[in-house]
Amino acid sequence: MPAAAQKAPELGYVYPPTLVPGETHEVELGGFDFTGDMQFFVHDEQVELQVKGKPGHFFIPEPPYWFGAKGRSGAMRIPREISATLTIAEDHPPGLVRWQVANANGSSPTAVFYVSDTPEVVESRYRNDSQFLDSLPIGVSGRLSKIAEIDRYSFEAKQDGPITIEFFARTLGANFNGVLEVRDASGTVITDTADTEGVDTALTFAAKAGQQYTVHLHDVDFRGNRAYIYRLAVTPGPRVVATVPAMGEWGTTRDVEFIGVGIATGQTKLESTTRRVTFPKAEDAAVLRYRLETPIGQAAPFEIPLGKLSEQLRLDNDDKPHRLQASAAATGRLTDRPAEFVWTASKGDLFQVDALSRAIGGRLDLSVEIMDVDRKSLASNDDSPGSVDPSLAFEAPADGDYICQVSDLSGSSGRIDSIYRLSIARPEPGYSLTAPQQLNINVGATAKLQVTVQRTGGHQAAIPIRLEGLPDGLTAPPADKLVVPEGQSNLDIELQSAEKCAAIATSIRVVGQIEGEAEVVAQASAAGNLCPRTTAANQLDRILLTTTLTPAFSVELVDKNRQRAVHRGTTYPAPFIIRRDDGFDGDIALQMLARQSRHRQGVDGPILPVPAGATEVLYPCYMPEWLETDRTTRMVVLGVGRQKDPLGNIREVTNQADARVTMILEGALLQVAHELKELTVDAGETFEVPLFVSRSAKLPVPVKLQMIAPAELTEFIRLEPQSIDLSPTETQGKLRVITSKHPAVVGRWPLTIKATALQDGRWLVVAQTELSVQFNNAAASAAND
Amino acid sequence: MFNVSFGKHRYCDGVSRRDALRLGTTGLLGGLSLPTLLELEATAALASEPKAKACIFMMLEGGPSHIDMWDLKPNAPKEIRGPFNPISTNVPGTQIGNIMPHCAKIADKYTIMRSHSHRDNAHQTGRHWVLTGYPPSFADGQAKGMPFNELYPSIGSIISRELGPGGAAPPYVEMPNPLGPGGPGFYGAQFSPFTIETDPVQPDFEVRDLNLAEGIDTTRFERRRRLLEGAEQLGLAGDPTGRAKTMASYYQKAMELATSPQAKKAFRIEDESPKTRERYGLSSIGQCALLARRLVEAGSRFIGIEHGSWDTHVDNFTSHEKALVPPTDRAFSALVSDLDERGMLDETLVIMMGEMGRTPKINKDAGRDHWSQCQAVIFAGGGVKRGAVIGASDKTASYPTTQPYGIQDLLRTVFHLMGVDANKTYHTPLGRPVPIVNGGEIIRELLV
Repeated sequence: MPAAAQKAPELGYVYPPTLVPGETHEVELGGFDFTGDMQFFVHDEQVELQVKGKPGHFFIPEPPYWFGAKGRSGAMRIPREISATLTIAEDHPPGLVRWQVANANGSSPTAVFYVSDTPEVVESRYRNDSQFLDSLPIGVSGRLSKIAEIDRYSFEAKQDGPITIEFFARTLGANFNGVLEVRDASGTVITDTADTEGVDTALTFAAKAGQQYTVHLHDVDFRGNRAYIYRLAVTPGPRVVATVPAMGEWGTTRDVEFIGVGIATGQTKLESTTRRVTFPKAEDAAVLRYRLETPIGQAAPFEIPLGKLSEQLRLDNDDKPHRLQASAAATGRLTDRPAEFVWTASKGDLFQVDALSRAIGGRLDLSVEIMDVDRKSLASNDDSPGSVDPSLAFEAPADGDYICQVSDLSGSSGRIDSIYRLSIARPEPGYSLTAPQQLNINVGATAKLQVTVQRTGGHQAAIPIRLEGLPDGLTAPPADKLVVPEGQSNLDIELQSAEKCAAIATSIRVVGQIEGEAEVVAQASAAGNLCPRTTAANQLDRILLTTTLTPAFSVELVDKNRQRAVHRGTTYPAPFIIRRDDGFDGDIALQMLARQSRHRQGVDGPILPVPAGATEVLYPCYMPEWLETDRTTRMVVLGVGRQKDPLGNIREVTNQADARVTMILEGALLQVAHELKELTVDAGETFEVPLFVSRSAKLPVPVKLQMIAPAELTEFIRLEPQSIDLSPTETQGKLRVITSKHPAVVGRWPLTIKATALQDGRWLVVAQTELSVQFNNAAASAAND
Repeated sequence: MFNVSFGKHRYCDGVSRRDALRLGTTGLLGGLSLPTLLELEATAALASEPKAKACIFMMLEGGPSHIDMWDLKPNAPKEIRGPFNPISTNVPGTQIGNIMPHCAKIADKYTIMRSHSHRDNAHQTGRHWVLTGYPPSFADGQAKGMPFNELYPSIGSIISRELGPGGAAPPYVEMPNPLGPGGPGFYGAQFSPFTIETDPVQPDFEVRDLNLAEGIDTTRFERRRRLLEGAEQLGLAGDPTGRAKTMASYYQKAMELATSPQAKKAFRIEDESPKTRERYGLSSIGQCALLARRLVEAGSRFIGIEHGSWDTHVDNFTSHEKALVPPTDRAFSALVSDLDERGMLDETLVIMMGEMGRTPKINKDAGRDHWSQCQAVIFAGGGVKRGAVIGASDKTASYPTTQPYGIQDLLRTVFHLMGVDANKTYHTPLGRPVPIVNGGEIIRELLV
């Protein structure tokens, strides 16, 4: 296993997070504690990834920042990104694709991106107004990149009728809760929804032809971060929320009742309508992605799970238990009292009982209880692992009837869409296998791959196991040792790494196969989708084995965790000692760890190369002038060394510094100010900004004054000269700003004025202020007219 | 027309309890709220002859290490005594930690109490104890808002209420950040501190609210003030929550500051010579101490200086030696010496302490943890002995071996020195009597 201070890479996101088939997309792969030598794995043969270059610099969160109590909450990680292209096969079905990365420090958990079957656009950056969506239906890939950000998208309704807006963030691995508001052209909120359950959200509203609507989108707590990516889907038409039956039987055709918002009349209320539906065969699909055609347009797609059981209906929910003949399944509508089912069993009969709501797109929090006819409780379950849907295995203790009671704990029952699906199945003898999705093995060492067997229907046989794709240098025990013994449910496979083995990651499969039977591939719990409907939806049949290197160096903070008084706006050179193992003289770099201990509020540090042989290093911790003085601020540093693996490959090995730099903030040494308040300027004019600089007696040095325009205006606004240098005794300067008449130069924009100095001749000191300028621009007005 | 009909059950002022309650909630009768009525019952005993006109309270938040600064135990085992050595001060027989050379030179001006003790071993709750004298109603870490002493008034608010302003400067100032439990509690907003919330070490240090907004001349300002007064009368009548009254108090305070040249001058730390500023140290605590001296000169009664990050669970020693103690050593010694040189020390009480001390036993991270059982408190001026050491601790600085002095003793002594009757009782809005200090004894051996 890698050392505790060794940091494996973590994911992460793909931006844009939604891609369409048949195209090659330019994307950014975002993640944490990336190195320049990572291996990338896309667990989908219909997707091709081409990485273009090395990780870029850290994305330090932009202002605004949280201060006070919120500023003390856990820090959001600081990502880096790598440019890449993703090519999606023409016939790729819509759905999530998993990917992950690995390096000589270990592998990351998986992350996801989405392949869509609707037209997609990407949020345009650098805009103050809402982004207009030209045509519907459309999906938008966007990002809430900073705290308090609200993204806005406008569109025009082409006809009267429902419009459905679906929001995906947690599905894509972005850990935030979306809030959607739809406003009409006058700005009045006409409907809204918030993802309070962490399962993403959607809404449908009645639009009027020719009217413009704007969707406002933000996090429920107004959080924002580079990793807060999302997809917004806007579809003219109603929205299906449930079907009866809730699952389809493979290869059959039957009437299906669709329940949804506006699916019958177009009004924004729950309605139902019935269609005859043919379900695909087992070999073709696990779900049917159905687009309901209605008189008011095509509904947003709805996924109906498929299975082998014939589906019964139990919609009246009267007091009398509904009799089933196991194996059987029933779809019911839950009223304000539990639903009961009865079935007959013989002593020793085994049953698998599953009640579904979340898995079929519902919001009920179901619970099941098995009772005998005297209503004595025999078994019960509320949630199954990884799901709020209950599941239990039951063995009949005697011949007779048994009652299964299904109830709801969410308070959402009693509605037309309070649909559940119960199955009471006699499990066939068989088994499934699970294994961890990631396993790291130090070069030259051993590690245990734990394979777990879930046997059903009384299965007891011994199960031979084989590992497919094991790389050179890794060996597993001989085949006669790779057998799960009869009746057992675990097998620990000891993998041995050769002493002379490359540090490399390999995707393998663990397969169980009893002679004469079909092979069973071990499933692993994958990450990425934070709100999977079912446990199976987050499983992957690939395991990433990574051989890792032990760091040949350590990074030690001088004086460990002592408090250090640092002035706001200055750079604290944190002293570190680099200790190298004998024989290691490779390059090392110091950089920020992705996961810091508190909200950053703009604290920054470089990727600092440490020359070969150097043992003492000062790591510059830049502390912005707005940091709070009544709390400590910390910097956690990661060392990255270039080491050879036993085969001579250069790999980047990480080792976290042994202590964090803890700083107490005091007042700034440098300040810059202007007295212009708000300024109004005609585009094309030149204007001057008088500036006043004050310095502490501790900073008797020259100061450079500069102005930074927003990215949208950098081509159209410039300084002449580009900066002004003030001598140590000068306290005033005047910036001359030249603007162009380009139509972009219009409206109110903030210009950042920056004063910089070097303390002790090398450590950056920064003070900044903002000038709000209103640009009047006749050319822009004419263009808009 | 507002009628008060008098029934059978009346207080001595002729108002029935029912009417008084109604008045208390509506406040229509010329500001006679329930607490005001009840306040009439407050004991008005004569206070002591004041020795101190003002108090500067240096709050070392997190808990400074008494065993490394003021009460060293060089003969204790290695895992207790730490790496610092005692040094002699200018008072024969008195030694303090060698990390405080400046304080060592002026030990004849202050008194060290080595037997302060209480039982609250946590930060928020401990600070509540220290600054109010009352136990908090919340668990440590659960305090909400700022200030977080919702009921009991802080020492600064009590002094502000009892003594009022001594000049143009606000009677109660905290800097650079709020003290936490430094609020007025049930006393109300008029006794809340003026918090500067900016660090006087900054080269552009300027206190907000001291200047009129651009374009607002004094005539216009006065017109606005009168308009506001009128609006307040209307607002106060219809506001059952008391928020309008609270805001009115804030506005009033802001107006007093914005219209007082003397108050503005007090905050102009840049008027001090570079040499004086350097003497206090170009650190946050140093410049706060200097600003506190200026505020005392301008009539402030209580100045709380918040200086944080003393919670040294990890690497206590280098934190104390390199970051925490040097600016504090310089600031305290400069403040006390400067006050003395200006003839102000005898009328200005300076106190320096934390909410706790630190564990004598050094932990595995070379840190010291929370320890409230034995602490050191430093007093100077304002009627306190000079050059004395009172109280003593055991051989590991774990427990007092002499009379332990608690929070109430300390607060009662401070109020005694400032001429505040610590037995005086005020009633909360619900009628609960709250004495200024609930118990405690004056620490006689501390007094001149």
